[in-house]
Amino acid sequence: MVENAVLHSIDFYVIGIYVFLLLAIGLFVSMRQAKNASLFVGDKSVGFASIGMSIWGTNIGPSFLIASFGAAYSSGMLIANFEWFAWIFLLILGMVFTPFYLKSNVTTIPQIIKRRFGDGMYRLLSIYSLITIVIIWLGSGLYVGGLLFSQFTGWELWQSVLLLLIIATSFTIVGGLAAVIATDAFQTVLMIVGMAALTLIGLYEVGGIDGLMAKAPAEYWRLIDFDSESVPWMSFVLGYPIMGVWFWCTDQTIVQRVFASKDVPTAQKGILLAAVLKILPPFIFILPGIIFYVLQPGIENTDGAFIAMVSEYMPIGFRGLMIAVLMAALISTLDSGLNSFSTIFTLDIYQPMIKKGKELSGKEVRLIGRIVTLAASALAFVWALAMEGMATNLFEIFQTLIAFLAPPLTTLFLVGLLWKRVTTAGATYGFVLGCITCMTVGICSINGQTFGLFEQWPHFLNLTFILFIVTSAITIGISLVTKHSADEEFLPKFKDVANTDSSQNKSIWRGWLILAIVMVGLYAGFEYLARNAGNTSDIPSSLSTELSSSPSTGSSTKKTASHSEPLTTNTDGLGLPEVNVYRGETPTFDGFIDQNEYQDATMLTGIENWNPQFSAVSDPKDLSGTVWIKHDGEYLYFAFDIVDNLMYGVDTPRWLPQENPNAHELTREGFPWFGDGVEVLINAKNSFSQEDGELNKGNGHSWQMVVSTHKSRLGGVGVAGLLEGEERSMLSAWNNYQKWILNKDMEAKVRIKPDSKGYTVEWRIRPDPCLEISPGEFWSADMPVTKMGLNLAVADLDNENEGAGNWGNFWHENWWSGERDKRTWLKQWGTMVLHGKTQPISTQDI
Amino acid sequence: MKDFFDPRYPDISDLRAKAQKRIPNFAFAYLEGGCMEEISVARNRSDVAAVQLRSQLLTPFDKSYLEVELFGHTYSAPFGIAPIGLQGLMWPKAPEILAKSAADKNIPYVLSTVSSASLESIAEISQGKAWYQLYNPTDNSIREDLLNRIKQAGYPVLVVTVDVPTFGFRPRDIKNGLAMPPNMTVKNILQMLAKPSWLWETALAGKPEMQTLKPYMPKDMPMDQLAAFMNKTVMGRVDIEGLKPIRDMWQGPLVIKGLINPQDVKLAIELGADGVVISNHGGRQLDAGESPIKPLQGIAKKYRSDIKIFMDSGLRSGTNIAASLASGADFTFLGRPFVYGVGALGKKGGYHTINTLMMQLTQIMNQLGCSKVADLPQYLVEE
Repeated sequence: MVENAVLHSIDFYVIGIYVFLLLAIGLFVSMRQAKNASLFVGDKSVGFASIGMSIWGTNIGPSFLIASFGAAYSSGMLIANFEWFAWIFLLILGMVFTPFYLKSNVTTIPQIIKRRFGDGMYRLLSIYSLITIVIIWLGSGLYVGGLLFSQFTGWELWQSVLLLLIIATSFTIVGGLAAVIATDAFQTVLMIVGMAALTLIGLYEVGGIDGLMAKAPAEYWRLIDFDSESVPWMSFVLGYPIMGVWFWCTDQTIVQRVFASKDVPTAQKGILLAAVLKILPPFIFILPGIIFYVLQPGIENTDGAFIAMVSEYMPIGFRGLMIAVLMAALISTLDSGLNSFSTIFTLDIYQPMIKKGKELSGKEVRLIGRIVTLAASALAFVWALAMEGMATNLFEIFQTLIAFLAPPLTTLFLVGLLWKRVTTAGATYGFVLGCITCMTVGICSINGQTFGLFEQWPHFLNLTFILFIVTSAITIGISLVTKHSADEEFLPKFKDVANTDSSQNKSIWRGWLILAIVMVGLYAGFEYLARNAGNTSDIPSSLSTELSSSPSTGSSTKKTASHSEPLTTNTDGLGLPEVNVYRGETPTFDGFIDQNEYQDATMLTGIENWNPQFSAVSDPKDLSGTVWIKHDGEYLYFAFDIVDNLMYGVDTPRWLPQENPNAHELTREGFPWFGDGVEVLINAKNSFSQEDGELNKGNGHSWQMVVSTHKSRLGGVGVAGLLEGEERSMLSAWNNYQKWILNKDMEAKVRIKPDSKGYTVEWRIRPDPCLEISPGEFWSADMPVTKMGLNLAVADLDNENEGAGNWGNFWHENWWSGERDKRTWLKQWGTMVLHGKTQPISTQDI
Repeated sequence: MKDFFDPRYPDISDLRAKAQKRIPNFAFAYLEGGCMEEISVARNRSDVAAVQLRSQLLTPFDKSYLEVELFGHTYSAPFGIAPIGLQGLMWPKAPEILAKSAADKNIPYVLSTVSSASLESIAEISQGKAWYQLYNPTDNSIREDLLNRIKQAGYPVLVVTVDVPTFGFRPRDIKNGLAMPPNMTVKNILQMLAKPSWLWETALAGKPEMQTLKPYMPKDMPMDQLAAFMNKTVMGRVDIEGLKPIRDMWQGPLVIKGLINPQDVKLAIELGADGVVISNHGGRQLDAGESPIKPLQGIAKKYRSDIKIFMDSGLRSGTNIAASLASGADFTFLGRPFVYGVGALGKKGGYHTINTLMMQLTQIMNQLGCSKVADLPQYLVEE
């Protein structure tokens, strides 16, 4: 994937400095705190800034980082909803749960439940908490983080995982929660700085804010989208709160920071800070994903987008910084997970179950806590390595799993704590049955197993909501038919614990109010952007009327954008050509153009009169020919019969242009189009802006490929055939093109005429993956009439002196469409109108 | 904004010092540097400084007017902003900032062919007041296309630079591996990191590229080949024969920039040029070059009635402008001071620099007792 050569020694110094600072801070805090301080809540002296930053840093792990970057790459701002809704649940945590937790004087979440529902529920929840910690906080993060680290350094996965784990475990064992919180704060700052650097460098590359606004699709700024497939708005509004209450308000790892605070206002201020910091992720984690899409569209595996951006655009030193950011994201999550695992195990399992509730001395707690931390990290190590051998989409599975872990816990807390009528039996059955239902539904829906009951599972956010309703119904139903058990205790009412009148409380509320206004402003701002700014790529279709009247055999009635005619911005008023292409007989794909083989194809002639990029053709013997285009339902065919009296590299030496001595290398540095040959350029999506200089995307959306008469990818230099075309400067384009050639998605056969006075080319193109008319949808013959952008070029090099004075000593390069120097701009291409059926024969029409 | 003046920077040297703190070293070196030993840069300064003016105090005098009429337009001051390449590298959006300030203050801004802004965008920003500076496009198709674009965009005056038959041998730039966009070497990165305000503005503005020339640049041209490409296509040596087709294609006022030899001025007049800029390219091309203030007086005396005479190189203040005008120039151009201004003060820098120079020049003319720019030669102390 990424070669080790990406890292410069300076990058390693940067990583080294980060690790050194991290350990120094961890050690310093460990030494400074009182000897008898708790591993689990420190010495209750943590400041609000540390609490806020620690919550933020714990929340953002490497898998989050990679996934949200990838989601931004593929669908823009939608994913930001998960960030910009979090503040509501942080508000609930801060203003509702925090006073309640701190006044109840507990150290773990299960202890709250113990007070309300007794020991049985307590044990259940303790074990459940340990499992969720391993799943969410330890295993997947470590696996993803280790994998990324290995990709950069070239280490084995186990080595990376071990190193990361040793760093995280070291200060967690020595300093406990205090060290975790202090290092989290440092790592939070590092992540913000590092990701801001990535964003700014991305902006720089994309042409600044103006460039981004002009080039990013307008829909990428949309936050609220009712029809979205990834984050449908209604599902989000229903499902996210269920996840939010559990994750932000009742998960041990997040809430442990609250337990460590000195008093309620400190915790509340810390939580407010975390909520304010939650404004940032869309700008520094999601925005760079959008920027990268503009810079390099067409990456299929979006999980790799982050690394691709870092290795392609970050300069020396900054790549090290980005690795430090990834490490920070992992370690700040991992250490918190380790610490809360140790907390729950020691206080909720070891003490009550193994020690039968006997008081533990401070020393004993610390010893057990440390041993458990070590054990948890060993467990995480095994778990992370085990994940390597499991299904490849495991990462996604864990992302989705969170949605299915939430409903039972959210029910337990919301219904169980808010409503006095809930009985232990109700809570327990609701929880257990809820867990079983959720896991069953979760596993089935992740695997897409529907048992033929319905077409497909609803969106996971809808499922979360439905499961919450189901679990609540069980809890309430059973509570109504059972009685309260003896060890139940009613917790203080929320309103009794909240100190509503202090002036500090008022200023905190003011903070929340300002934050709420900012958030509404952000949503309004992005809605404005989605409506007004951006790249309005789809020009209103002049084809739509034609579409509605033409018989549609296929199910797809996808609207197709078309070149607006006449093209008003075409500076010198050149009309752009258009060609109709129909279905025909399957030709013999051998490079020879036999009599009648293309009689059912559309013919284009007059290559000698096409728009010259270099010297105009004066003698048709020098360069002329015919092009035929048709499809047979399976492939799109182009056939060229070219007349050329002097064949470069056949009749002449393979002389090199002075512009590039490596012109004939079959690498991105070579010139594929240097020599005699033909080019096909297709804009299958047929979307383009009126912007000058907009080039093809280098994927199924739009591309430019080359057939040379003297070199090819499959045959090497000396053998005619297909080559990766433009834009080679885009790595993704180069990779896509090469894949197409190697997979034979696109093939070309070339025959030099026996007298070497020209050549013939047969070139066939498989619509999937080469004609992607909309993301994931490929052209097929059963679709209604479809328009695509098309350009064709025929190049002719003769002797070096023929083209003297021209760039690269090119002699001729004639283009079907477009102006000189601008013919590769998407807006300059002609149009190919693809008909699924055969060409109407004029006699039949009469 | 138009009348912005920051009293902390009453002299161009103050702006320069501030700009140096805010612009990465490699970009500042490009702005400052000259050819080889940079003797010519220093001589331009000292020769301008040697010019003396004599005031006349007892003749009745009302006030001085800075306005000058050129090619049918009255400008508010006898100086303009000289074309500077790679401006966007020194301060993001510098061409846009300066073109806007110049248009608002009604002085000419000359857009360089190798600017980071496209000629179309500058024409729009300057409300059609900016001039366009062209090198010699040897490729016929590029020349034709560029001239069409310049006409289309509505540039009133075309300036053709003829004093770069070679790429200036500038040691500082060679050492720094100067390129646009800048090379991301460790050294350059450290220099950029040392200038956070420049970094921030640059990120928001985006990568500086030669927008005007972008359409003509071949795909994927490696940086080391770009210079050769530029020389071959848009910056080749130009002689009088090479200027003829441009004169034929361009019907508006044509100014030939970079002459210092009276012989060349004569040829320019014969060509039918409307103005000449007496200049040695700010000392950036010929290190042993004569400083333009020297031959200016002779050229002006001989040809002022035949052609508009402009002067640049070595001017940094109102005093210098007055010295040049007194030596016979109809109008002057300054380059570096404006970039110092933008580097030091960002968006307001253009206005500040123009206002400073206008205030300085007004004071000098009032002190001399000179009421209009064209009368300045009467106050020259002739050697």
